[in-house]
Amino acid sequence: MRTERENRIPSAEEVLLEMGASLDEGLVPAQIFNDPELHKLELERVFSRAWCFIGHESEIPSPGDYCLRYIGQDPFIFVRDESGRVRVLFDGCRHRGAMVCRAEKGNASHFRCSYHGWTYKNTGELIGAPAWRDAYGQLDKKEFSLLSATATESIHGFVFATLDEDAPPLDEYLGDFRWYMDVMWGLADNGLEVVGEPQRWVMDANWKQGADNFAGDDYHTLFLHKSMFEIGVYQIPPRANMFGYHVHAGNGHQMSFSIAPDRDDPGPKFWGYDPEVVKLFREENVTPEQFELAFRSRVSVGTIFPNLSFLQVPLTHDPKNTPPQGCLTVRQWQPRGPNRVEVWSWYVVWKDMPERLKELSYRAAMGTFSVSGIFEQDDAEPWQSIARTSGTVFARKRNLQYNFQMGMGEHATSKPAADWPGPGVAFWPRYEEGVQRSLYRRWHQFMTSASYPSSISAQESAAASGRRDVSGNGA
Amino acid sequence: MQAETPTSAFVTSAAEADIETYFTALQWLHHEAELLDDNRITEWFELIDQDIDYRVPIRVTRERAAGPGFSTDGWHMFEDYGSLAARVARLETEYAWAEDPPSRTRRLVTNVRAARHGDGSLIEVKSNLLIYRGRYDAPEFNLIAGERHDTLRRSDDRIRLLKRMVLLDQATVATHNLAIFL
Amino acid sequence: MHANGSAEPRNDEDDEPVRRGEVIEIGNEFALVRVCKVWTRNGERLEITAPKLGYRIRLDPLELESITWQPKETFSRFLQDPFGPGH
Repeated sequence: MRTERENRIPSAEEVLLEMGASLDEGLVPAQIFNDPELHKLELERVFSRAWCFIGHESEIPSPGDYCLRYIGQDPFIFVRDESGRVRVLFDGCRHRGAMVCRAEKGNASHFRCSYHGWTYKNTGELIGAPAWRDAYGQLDKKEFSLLSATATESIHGFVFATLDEDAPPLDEYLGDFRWYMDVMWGLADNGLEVVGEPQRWVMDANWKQGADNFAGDDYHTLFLHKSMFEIGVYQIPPRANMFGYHVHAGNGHQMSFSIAPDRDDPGPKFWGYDPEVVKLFREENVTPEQFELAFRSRVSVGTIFPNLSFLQVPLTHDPKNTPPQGCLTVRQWQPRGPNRVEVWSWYVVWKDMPERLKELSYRAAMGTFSVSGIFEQDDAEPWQSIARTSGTVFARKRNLQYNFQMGMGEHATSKPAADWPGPGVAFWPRYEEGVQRSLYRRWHQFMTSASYPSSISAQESAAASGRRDVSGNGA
Repeated sequence: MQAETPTSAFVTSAAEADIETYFTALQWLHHEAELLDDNRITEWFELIDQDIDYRVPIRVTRERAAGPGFSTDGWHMFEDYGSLAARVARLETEYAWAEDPPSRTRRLVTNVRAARHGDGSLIEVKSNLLIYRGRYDAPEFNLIAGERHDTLRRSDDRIRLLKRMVLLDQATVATHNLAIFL
Repeated sequence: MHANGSAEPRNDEDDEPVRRGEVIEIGNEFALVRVCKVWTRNGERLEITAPKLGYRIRLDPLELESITWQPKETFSRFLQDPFGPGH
């Protein structure tokens, strides 16, 4: 660690060492938002270990359907093989490493590399190459299958993969967050489906800005998104909007909820989905507690560690003529450099909802949260300038630290909510940044562990993020 | 939500083109570009027909045999008059940070091909579009390139935009947001 | 037909069909083939052409039927020589 008077830029290792202590005080070093060395370390220690989102099964419904996806910056083929099994294969030929699939999506039972023609089944198995006997004789093809992600699992159609043999099963990785996936995405018999292809765009920002923002930065809606309230795109008044819950789900997963105080509240229920959609939600598919929470939910927003965020919310693209519709956007903040993020945004609807409502939901979500979305347009401004600030020599030499102290210590207005119906630790109202502190705590743990880090419960996570009053709360 | 994405279906042959139609379309496109570059958004909105259908399809990389890769159900923009009105209204609020301070844009509109259709009140126009976008004091800039397929409609002696399909040349949009109109 | 009544052995590849149906293309990023129904004087077949590699085959209903019960493994075996014998 640097001494206080040492006037120099610290190494990645020193930043992480200092951050271990500063996080206890709710301070996060600027340098982690724009540093080449830390970026490289993130790719190795965060993205190649964590369960990363690959795509939704509805994007590859038929045998042979495939899409190209990334884990960190590494290219993978997300494919349904001929037997219907979903696989995540590394997109590099075992012969020389040329990309085997080059189109972003398609359908194929076999992949034939364009360089020398090594040909694989869509399970990844090598089956042949031109003039095999002359060229290779008895070489064992089994040894040269396309490499595959270490493990692939799916929940409600959302497919995740990990590259780390020591990673726990997905259920365990998700911790208390798993319960909320049922609440949000497990209600209808035939589940969810993605509409169209994911939208992709780039920003000169660090990927953690998006993860942090969706983890529970409701506070910024008071000001940055003021125009949305003014023109009626989002109809819950800004201050009232803050009266919701922050949920620590453990293992770095965070959520923020706005819920109706009771069933008789006149506001939106079931995230504002149309009654025709709500008809699809069946109590039998979840527990009574989960159904009750879904019933009262107005807005759910959150981040699954490390870089998958979601927002389920009533919105409209045309406040004068169209009432708000339930929308679901799922987005991934893909690291492309220390100060470069590629945003992938999927729009998700209930498979059995009427086409007319799918279109309204899509348009409302895309009109507000997308590259052109009138909500999201504004976020790019501060996120890009944060990367700029964080990359300065001045910020790094002076150890500029950002303030994540909201909700800490005796001045905290947000308290643990004893009446919260779900697992994890919930705080009310949303004037607290513990969810972000937990996200950075988990990130720090990944960054400083030589091997896959141990799990951290919601209670430990909330306590470690500066709240000593959480024992006994939650499940 | 499925829609035909024009690729090359809309081609005006030289025989259909006449100088007056071409000149009318050219003037209209140049005028529109000027209003947008000058940030006269409400005046620009007066050029929009009430029945506007304004779309920017997502594009994905596909093999040659599969065509140019424009999505038929995924969009960067999918707008009607009401949603465009909301976008304009929001840019007029005091909190439209995405464009305040505004981007400096320069729209270069070229390769214009125009033909009259229907009873003569419709003009179909194809044009190439290159937008330079700069922000703040950075010398770096974004370039957005694409082709536009427009339908203009004359009514009440004014020509307004009835349909627009913007076919981008990027699979991953290389700008931090589309807070500007294409 | 020869004078003695025996047929010259003929390869259907050399045969021009009496009539051709509409050609459809089936393509992905790895291959492109053209498929069409062709009529002989007395019957019909399905013609598959691989224009890039220059191969063509005409399959009759019985052959086509036999394809329907092949395990996927059969095609993986076919593809052990991914560009065919001539490449």
